[in-house]
Amino acid sequence: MSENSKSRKSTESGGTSAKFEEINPPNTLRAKVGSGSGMNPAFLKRAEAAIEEIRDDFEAHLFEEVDRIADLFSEMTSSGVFEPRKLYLIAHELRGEAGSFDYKLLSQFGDTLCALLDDKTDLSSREIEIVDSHIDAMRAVVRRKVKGDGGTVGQELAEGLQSMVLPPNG
Amino acid sequence: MTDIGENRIGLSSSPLELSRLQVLVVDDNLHMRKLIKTILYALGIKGLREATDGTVALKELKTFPADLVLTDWLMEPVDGIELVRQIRNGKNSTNEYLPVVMISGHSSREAIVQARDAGVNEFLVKPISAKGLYQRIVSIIERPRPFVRTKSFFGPCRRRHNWSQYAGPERRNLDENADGPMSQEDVNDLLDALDG
Repeated sequence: MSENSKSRKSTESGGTSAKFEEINPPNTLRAKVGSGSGMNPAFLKRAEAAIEEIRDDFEAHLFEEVDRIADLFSEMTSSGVFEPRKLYLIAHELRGEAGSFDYKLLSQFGDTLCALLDDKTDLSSREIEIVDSHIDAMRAVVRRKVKGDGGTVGQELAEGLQSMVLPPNG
Repeated sequence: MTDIGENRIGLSSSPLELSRLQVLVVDDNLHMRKLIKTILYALGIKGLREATDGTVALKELKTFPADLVLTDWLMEPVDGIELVRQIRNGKNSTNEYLPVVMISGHSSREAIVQARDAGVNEFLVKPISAKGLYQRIVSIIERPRPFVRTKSFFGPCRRRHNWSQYAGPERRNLDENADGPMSQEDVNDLLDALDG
């Protein structure tokens, strides 16, 4: 692979002076995609339509994930042994997946739950209550199939959960 | 200033032809892989391989000459950050310049800077949309950045702005008075600012 390379003295991070080598590798991607530019509007429409075709499967999966985190939390509550990392991994999937299919509110709940659970090895009684509130909220989304941001009520709920997790500003 | 903001990637009457691209999709979540593959197929990309974590991805790359890697972050045993490090700096890397798009639910500033320091080319915040993914792919093709090798870093050039302006406590949003995850637009703003 041929490449252009040059070394020079400069700052790589805007701080102290450091020597670095700048390399311009061949743009192998460009060589494969022709001389056009930008996105194909027909292909973009086709991709958006294709997502719609798998929406039902994805929705069922999302709801199963909510059941899974609820069941797991219920087991932990019964045993008194909490493993926040296991809850975090499901919440992380939910925050990433849910929004892709218009369940933005569910994604928000997943995100604040992740903020609570990140790096935790155990949960205080207060944190257990907050997890419980999140899971109740997630189940409500599933029961009512609440899409989008859930409107005024949904956003008030999201803000309420967020205020329980994140310290106040200022 | 190098422009990598998605808002500047538009529709075109003579668009890029992506059908010859070969893409490796790395995600431990079957449903996310399905979503990404669905989008890529619809964009005309047929050369696809899948991997469930960084270890499997590195193994795939030995036999699959990918033009592009789309990878999740949080995977076990080897996550997306380590995968990028291995592609850039690993002894057995098959292509140290391989373009990598990190697709993640991690959307804090700290996470984005960490991904950039590992050597990713682009960062796409979940949720995924067809438009968002398409724009990132086009951006990588149309706006390639030079690579930089220093004592401590090898990857797409990070130097354009003063990193020090982002030193200090990590906040979850560009707006220090706001909490919550960063949107893709926030991420683009941050990357543009880092790129300067």
